[in-house]
Amino acid sequence: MSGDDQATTGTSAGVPLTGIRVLIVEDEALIAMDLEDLILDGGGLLVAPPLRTCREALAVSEAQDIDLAILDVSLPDGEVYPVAEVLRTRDIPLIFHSGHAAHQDIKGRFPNAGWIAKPSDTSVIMDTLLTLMDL
Amino acid sequence: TADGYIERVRTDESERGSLFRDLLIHVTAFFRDPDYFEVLGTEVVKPLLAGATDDIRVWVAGCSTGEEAYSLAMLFAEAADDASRRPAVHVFATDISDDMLRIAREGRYPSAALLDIPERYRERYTIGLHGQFQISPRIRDMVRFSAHSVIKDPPFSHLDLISCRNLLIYMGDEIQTSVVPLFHRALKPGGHLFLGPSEGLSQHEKLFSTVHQKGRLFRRLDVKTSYGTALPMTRVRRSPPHHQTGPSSVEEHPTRERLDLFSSTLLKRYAPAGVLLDTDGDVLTSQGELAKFFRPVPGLQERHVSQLARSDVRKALIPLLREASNANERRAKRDVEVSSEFGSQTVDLVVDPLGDGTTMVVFIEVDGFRQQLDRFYSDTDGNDDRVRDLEEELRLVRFRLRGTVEELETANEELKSSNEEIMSMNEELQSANEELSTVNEELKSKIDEIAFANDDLSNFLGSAQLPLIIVDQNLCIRTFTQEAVQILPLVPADTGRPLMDVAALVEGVDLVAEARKILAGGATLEAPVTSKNGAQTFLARIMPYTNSEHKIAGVTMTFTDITRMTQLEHDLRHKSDRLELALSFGNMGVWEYNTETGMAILDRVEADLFGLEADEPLHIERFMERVHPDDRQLVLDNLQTAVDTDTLYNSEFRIVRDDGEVRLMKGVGKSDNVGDRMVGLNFDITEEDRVKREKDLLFEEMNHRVKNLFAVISSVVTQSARKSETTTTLAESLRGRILALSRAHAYTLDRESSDKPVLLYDLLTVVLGSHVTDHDVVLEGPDVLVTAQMATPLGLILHELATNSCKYGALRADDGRIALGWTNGSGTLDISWSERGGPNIAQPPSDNGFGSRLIDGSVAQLGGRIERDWNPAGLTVRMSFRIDDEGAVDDR
Repeated sequence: MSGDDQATTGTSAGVPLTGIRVLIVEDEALIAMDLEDLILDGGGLLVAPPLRTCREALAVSEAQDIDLAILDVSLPDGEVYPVAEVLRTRDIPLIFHSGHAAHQDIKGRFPNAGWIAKPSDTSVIMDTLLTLMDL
Repeated sequence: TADGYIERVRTDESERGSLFRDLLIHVTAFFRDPDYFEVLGTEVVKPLLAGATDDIRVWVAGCSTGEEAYSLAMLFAEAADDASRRPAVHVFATDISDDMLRIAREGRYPSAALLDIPERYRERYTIGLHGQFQISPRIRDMVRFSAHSVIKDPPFSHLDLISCRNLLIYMGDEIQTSVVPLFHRALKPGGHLFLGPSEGLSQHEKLFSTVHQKGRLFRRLDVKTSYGTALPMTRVRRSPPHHQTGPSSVEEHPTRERLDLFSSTLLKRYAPAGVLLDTDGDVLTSQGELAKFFRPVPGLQERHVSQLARSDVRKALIPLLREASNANERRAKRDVEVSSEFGSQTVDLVVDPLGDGTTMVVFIEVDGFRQQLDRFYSDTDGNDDRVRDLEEELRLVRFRLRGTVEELETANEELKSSNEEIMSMNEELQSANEELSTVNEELKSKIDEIAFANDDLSNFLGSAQLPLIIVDQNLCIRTFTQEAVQILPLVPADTGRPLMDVAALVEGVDLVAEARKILAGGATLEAPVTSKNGAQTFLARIMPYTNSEHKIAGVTMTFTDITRMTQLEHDLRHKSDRLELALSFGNMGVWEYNTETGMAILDRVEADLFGLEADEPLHIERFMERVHPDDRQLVLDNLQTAVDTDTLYNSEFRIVRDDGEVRLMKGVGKSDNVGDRMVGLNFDITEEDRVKREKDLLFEEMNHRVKNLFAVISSVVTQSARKSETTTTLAESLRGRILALSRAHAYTLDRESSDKPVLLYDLLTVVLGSHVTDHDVVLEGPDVLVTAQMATPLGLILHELATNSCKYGALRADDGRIALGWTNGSGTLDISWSERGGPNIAQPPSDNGFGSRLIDGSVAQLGGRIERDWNPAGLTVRMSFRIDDEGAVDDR
């Protein structure tokens, strides 16, 4: 139970995300925790604790400085796209993280967005983050 | 009077004959219509002679006095001379008048008629007589005259030419109509018919072709005609031709004529000489040898008796005449001595006034004539008498000879005529014979036809394989086919047996009774009958047998084997029933659409589906009105494609019902092979569609959840790995957490619907498992519904709490207990976890371990709050969630 940092998989490259402000929108607590650990282990910062509704996410995405967003699609109060629209208008890179298959029209609306299918290995998630951030 | 004449005609045969002769019209002439004779000469006569291989036969019907016949003979004779060919030419000239024929046979005509004969013929073919001319023997020999009636007698045959000029015009239409085919028959193929200028073929244009229209010259066409009625076959033998042979037979003369002959002979030979004087005394006539009493006077002018009479007579006669005239009665004077140059004669003179002004003077010689001069007597007187006797005898012989010659000539003529007559009869016989053989041919061909018809009939009956029975009016079997043994046990010898003697092999119809009904005038019966063993079904048709007079002469019964048809019909009905059942259970509407007219026929179900009337065909537009406007074009396109490519029609479309309800329909159809017809089904798939969508949705949801679950498990592994010291503890914690997840998921997955709320109690029981059944955890709270959405987070929270309790809290002790209670009110669900009876807890666990982090995250996931009270008596955890009435997490 004591906290040691031995098992931070996929982050052995050091701290590539240093100073990056990341928004996590995820309603599943465990997954949210996983993502949170991934960002923090990579040297990144969380804009807010993982958010689990569109409502919360909209408020944060409009108000905060954000470098990158990881968005679960299906949320208790609807799908995440309104949040994505806001982020796009702000030219904030974003990644959809979903168990749902991506629909073609969504991909058309967000051509620059990254897509990560659930479940995915943390290294894949990290690679996608880095590619999108051009790091 | 007229009546008297009629009576006489009735009784007197000779008068009848003369009336008939008077009625006949005998107008004819040589070369009548000379232009047409020219045509005949070039068109017929010359070609005939040029091509003749056989005798040339010509018939002049209605020849009258023979001019026509001789004209034709001259034509032929001249053509024969010109062509240097001499085939035998026979001109048969016939007429019904014997008188006319007699003139014709003589061949002697007045000189005036000579003008009608073209000049080139006159010298060659006529012989001039005084005031008359005679047809030359060469021409005469070519012509044979005979009595013959065109109407009543059989015609000649094998003729090259028939001339029947100006005969038909005197006949009635009916006779004309029958005569023309008769001519057709009499002619050889290609023979010619020469008619009068105003005569025609009267409705028989098909039999002849016209050679010269104005000349009425026709050529026989080789077409078949029926002469049966036209040919006068039954003929009454006419009386033999009657030839007048002059006054040679005593029997032929009446008494009156005989008396005249007697008187004249008596007068000539035996009566005394005498003269008849008129009132002036001129001699009117004389009788007997008067030379002894009258002088010969030069010049015929002097006729008065006083000048003529010798002086002795004059002296006695004049006074006597005066005397008699005055007295107006007979006077006589005896013994008047009359002297002449030759001698003297004593006579009694008688003067007899006859009352009409004339006076008869008779000289009755009283004794012999006395010669004046005796010296003239000589011995030669005897020789003179002998010569005179011989001369007299010679004169008589000559006279008789002439009579005999005339008789011979006449007899010859008669013979010739009889010969001609026999030849005509021969012709007629030949013609009749030919007619008979024609009839025979026809009969033979009729028999052949009947044989063919018979063969056809028997073949037809054989090929039809149809049981057929014909019974006559007495219900006796007349005919039956081989196949009829299926109906009645018949053998060939049964023909003629009464129908009722034969027991029928079929039941269903009483054949005898029905046959009686038909004979009584009943209508044709059609009824099914079955064989007694039930294996076969026939359709019996019992109908009248009508003969050629359209009378019912029996009954015809046919039996069509419909066993297979009946079976098929039964099967079809069965199939149809099943189909109907299927359609009605499937609530499928059937439609039939005519692609040409656009009209559609629909059944009741179809009509109900569309909310239309099914009573009559509807135009497809009526359907289209029901189809959702967005789908109309789709339906029409699909229909058109199916028609164009001859493929199946398949379409899903929405319809809008009268009440505004939208239903989803499926339509399938297929063009039948007829061409412009399409048959298909419509059925309502709204429900199926809904279920399918739900299933798709559910599948999608499950897929999502499973992926999510794997993601969660992946996180559990990651997180657990970060905090575990050993693989044993890692495995233990992983197994516990994964089991908790599994239980929570099992619970939600077992539900019929993932959205349906569940009782919180039930959910907690499942999630905590053996803790609840072992009464380690005591549940208490009202019935609260929560959604399955809460299952996973709650499961994880309670699992972590229970795990911690087992490690450090109440569940570590044997009698430790946990009270899990909840309250619900005003949209808030409060859950409390109170541990009692465990070891004392001095302080909360120092590390903010994975377990508590998981709890906090899960509570946050449910939008709830959590408080931990580390009471030394035991941990108390209070959680609070906002839920709505359906038990879902309220995210507002």
